[in-house]
Amino acid sequence: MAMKLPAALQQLIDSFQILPGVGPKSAQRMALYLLEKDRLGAERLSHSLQQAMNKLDHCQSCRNYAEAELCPICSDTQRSTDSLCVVESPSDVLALEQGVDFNGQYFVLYGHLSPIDGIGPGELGLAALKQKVESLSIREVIVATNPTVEGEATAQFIMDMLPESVVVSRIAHGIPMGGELDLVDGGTLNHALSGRRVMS
Amino acid sequence: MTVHNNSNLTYYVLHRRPYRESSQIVDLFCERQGRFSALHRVNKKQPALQPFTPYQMQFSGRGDLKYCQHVEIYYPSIYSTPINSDNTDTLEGAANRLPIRLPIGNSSVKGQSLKGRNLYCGFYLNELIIRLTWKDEPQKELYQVYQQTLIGLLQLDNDMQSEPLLRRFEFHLLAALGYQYNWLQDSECRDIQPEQFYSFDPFAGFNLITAHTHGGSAVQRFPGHAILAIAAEDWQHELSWSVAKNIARLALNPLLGDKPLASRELFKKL
Repeated sequence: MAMKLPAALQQLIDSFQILPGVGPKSAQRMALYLLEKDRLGAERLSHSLQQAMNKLDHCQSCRNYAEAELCPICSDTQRSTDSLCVVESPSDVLALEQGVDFNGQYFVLYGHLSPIDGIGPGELGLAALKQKVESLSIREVIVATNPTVEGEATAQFIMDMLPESVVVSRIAHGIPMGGELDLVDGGTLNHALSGRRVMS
Repeated sequence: MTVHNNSNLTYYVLHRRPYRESSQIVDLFCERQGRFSALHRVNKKQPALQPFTPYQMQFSGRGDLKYCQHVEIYYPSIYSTPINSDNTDTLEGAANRLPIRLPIGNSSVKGQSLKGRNLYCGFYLNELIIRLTWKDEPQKELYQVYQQTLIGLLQLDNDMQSEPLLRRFEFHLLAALGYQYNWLQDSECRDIQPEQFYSFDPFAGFNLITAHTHGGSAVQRFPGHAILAIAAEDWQHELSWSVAKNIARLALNPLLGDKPLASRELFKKL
């Protein structure tokens, strides 16, 4: 029979289990760790959780997380409004910001078109994307959705919906850096071959 | 642990949804089993299973939901030496008497993926199979037509041409579900007359519209010559395209019920 725990402790353990990859055992470890070893840290954690949940909402312009109406990227007047990069998730924005020198705008879809799951243009905020492109007179929209069939369909839909004056480009797909050709699947190889570039 | 070796079968992924931390439930389609579900462990370092790609795989596990293992992309020879209009009658059984030949070329499409609006067509095919076929029911003919339709879509560069391909698939799907229509005779076994008009009943077929049976203004009227053109696989006139499309919709709608097809939304422009 399961041991009876104080209600507050049981509740804490249960609460940790909402996190991805955290089962009953690790939840219990985390709860006991905070109680025994780091009560101050626990205070901070609970405060940050409260703050984040109260303050963070979607940026009115790019749908990424923001404390104010606009996120720090959208309110940065130094950034170019020439190009806009469309991504599937906020973590993609982070990856691009940390990894490459892109100085344009973003738009976060929170997913991709997946008709069978009921995710259509409305769920992805594509009307807001169109409005943003038009109001900022963006020249180029770079569609950086994942190279899955749903990501491709999303890219196609975005291209169809934007006026012809806007250049719509798709990020390149192919062999990953440091990868080995013979381990790459046929589909990726095909993309890599058809998207080859002349060296000069 | 039992491993089922079905090494000569090729599977297509119809749909996948996340399951627990690192797995997916995939809806698969193959000729022997028709539509069925399996589990697939997702490895972030490897590409996830994609719809419209042919795979070979094995299955392990005891329960109803087996795990896919040893998954590999495998292009059957039909991808590099594609079917042309002459050998579509390799389809066995009654379905080969259906109209609508495969309007595709002969180029190899091995390793290629659906592009542009043809992707929407692919989603449409998958949604129809998921919505209308029974699980675990062999679908040999429908599987072949599905594969041919995908190959046809890969060969098209103009998405308008996808229409006859979709119609062909729809009529084969209807036949697989037990709805096979006679395109040469009306419901009273009289030959379809080119100059007459006909209404379409999803459960009976074509009915001659006469002065007595006009049936009110709500009934769609189809000219006999367009019906005969479809029967003869003559796609030169756009009229036969729209007639075929309307007939397919009338036939599919009662089967689909109140819930509209989500993939049709993609074809509407925002």
